[in-house]
Amino acid sequence: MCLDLWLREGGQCADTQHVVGDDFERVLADAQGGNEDQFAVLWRDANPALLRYLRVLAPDAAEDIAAETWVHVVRGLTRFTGDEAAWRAWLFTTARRRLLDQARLRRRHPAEPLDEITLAEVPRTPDTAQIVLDRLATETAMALVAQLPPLQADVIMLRVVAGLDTDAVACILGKTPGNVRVMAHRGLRRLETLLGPAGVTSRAGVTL
Amino acid sequence: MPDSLPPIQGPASQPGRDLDALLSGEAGYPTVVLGPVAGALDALRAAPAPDELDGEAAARAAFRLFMLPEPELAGGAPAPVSVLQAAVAGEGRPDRPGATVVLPMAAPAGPRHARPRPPLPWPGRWQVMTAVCGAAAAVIVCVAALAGAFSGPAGQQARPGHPSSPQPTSTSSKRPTSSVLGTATAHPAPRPSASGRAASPEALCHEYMQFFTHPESRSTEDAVVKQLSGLAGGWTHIMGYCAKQLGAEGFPGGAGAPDSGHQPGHGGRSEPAMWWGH
Repeated sequence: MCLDLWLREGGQCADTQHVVGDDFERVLADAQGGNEDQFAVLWRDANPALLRYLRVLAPDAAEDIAAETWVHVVRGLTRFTGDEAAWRAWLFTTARRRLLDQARLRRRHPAEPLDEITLAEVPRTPDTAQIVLDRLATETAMALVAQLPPLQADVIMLRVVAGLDTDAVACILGKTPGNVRVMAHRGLRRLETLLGPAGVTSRAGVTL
Repeated sequence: MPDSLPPIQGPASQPGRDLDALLSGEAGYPTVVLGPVAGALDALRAAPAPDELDGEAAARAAFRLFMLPEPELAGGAPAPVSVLQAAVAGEGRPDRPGATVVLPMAAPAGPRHARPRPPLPWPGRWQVMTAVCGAAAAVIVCVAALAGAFSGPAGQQARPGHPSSPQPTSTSSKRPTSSVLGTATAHPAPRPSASGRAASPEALCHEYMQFFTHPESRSTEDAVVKQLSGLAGGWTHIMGYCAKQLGAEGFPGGAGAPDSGHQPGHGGRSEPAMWWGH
């Protein structure tokens, strides 16, 4: 209900990053009209953040939940109204609902994971080493955030990766904006503590 | 920033602005304050990695599946396909499309009764027509067989007490006494003929009496009965008339018939119904 109210207001309280920018309205309209290329623009813009969010909260099923989220989004795409902030809020709200459904399903039907594929079995491409190096900082940061309490990690990822503001995160999580700020504050403090001994190495090789 | 700090209230508060700026990645935020944390958050916001864009082909397939307009589905446009893409690094990128498995999409669901049935090919139609004709022929043969059966022995069985094997009289004691219908006599009696119209009353009565032992020819029997009815003054008087014409010897039951003379009819004459009605 909170999200609906926020969506009706056009997401005016959101101050998230505008990745698609001023063209978002046209891109969304074209995608709703069946333009596959414009939908791909929306997908390429939001899917990396969606995957990172899900990989922190559900590392084992992030890809599956993301795919399921996009199916739900596509099915409701023609009914969506709002700006880019509302679009991101809707996307991550859908993802979070799928995440909770997945968690409930796993509690009912626990599965035994198979042995992980060793690095020697991973298909190699010429730029695998570079990809690993590029991903190292992001992966390390995500691993650090994953060590936070779930709610704090949720707040950090929604605020930082999804680009949602405090009110939008409060709506998604069902908390008050004050609670969201407190959890973000505590999450950052714990992250600072975790970074003390480990640190995050940037792409330039500088330990932050 | 100790954990015991109260919640940051409102955008006017300086710590609140700092926190929002840190989380949203605003430029110009003094990263010196929380350098390592800011670096980690920047790493979280880093540019997409190639594997994070792997599923674009699957997303496009889902988009085509759900967003394709109805007229295109019903028209001559190629049917949408379901693309299953393996989770291989680098696959699905526009510059390096991976191996995909293309499955034909199922026909659009609809009510079963509303789906048009494809027309049968001509060989199929001929097979159906042949089967129908064969079934009709079988029904006709069965009906004919049943009709023939009921007009034969069954018709005879419908007459209880029919004197197909009359008890031998004193004058005909040598005749076989088989009770099997249609085999009452060892030597078949002469079949009644339709030429009895010009015969004498005795011949008509003799022919009439033969019908009780050989009732196969109904039409002939009807003709004889019609003539005898005219001679006797009614079909109910035929038996009495024939008894007078033929005498006791010519009567099937004869004088020794079990019911003869015991069932007087109207006017003191035995009635045919009385004769074989028991």
